[in-house]
Amino acid sequence: MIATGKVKRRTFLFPKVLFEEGLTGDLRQRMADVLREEARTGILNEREFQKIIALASANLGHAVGVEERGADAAELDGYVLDLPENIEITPFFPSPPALAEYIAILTANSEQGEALVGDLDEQFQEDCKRFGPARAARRYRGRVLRSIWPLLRSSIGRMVKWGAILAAVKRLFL
Amino acid sequence: MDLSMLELQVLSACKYLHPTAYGVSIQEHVERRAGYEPSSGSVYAALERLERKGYVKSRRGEPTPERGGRRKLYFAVTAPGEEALRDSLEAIRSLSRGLRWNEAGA
Repeated sequence: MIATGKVKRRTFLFPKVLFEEGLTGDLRQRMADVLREEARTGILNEREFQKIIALASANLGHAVGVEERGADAAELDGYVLDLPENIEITPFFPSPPALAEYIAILTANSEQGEALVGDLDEQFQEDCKRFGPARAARRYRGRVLRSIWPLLRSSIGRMVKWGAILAAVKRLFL
Repeated sequence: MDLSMLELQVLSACKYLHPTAYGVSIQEHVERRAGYEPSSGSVYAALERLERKGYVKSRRGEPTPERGGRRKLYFAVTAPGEEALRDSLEAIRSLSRGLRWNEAGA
């Protein structure tokens, strides 16, 4: 049976590690062909699709699943492959939990705050590649929590120092 | 020459990693060499103290997408920093000279 009517496009979510290290050589092109065909006809060649995923997983050395997502795919982790016409692959960097801003606030020196939050982001992206988003998020929270006390202590130290200077100025001149 | 152990580790990491010493690379270097991973917060707090003492100076790098568009902050050891590092390491070497350790299980 040939599908008729409006072709419903499907969006597949490829974990970053599978895309970068698994779908290598001609596998990426084969996958693009399968998805292009699916976008044109509305029928996914499941057999070829699964075969390519298996080969890509073999390249990686462990099995990695590909999820099918709806319109919210852009908010999810990994690479979003959504291509009816050409192989346009958008690298998507997952967002870490929203704790980093608090760390930035704790560091009064804004330049260091930006760098610190960037470092946490960088480590989060690396962990996503190595352990997947769920474990990466746990590690990220752990890093943030371990960072709070030293930063807080440093901020308090600064405040106490400025407090002491202001008190001395008051004593001397007011 | 008033360096805490973490400041000493961070300062020597900055010297070793020059010119690519920034938060993550310093953390990783300390983890490899000292056997524990200092938190990002304690590394930056130590770097801030070192910068205040004039032992390191920082320069901003380029923003990258994997860092959420945020810039790296690279650190380089200054001449007084080198002197403080050398003095601290020499003091440790001097203190450890002639120490006698108990044999394992003795």
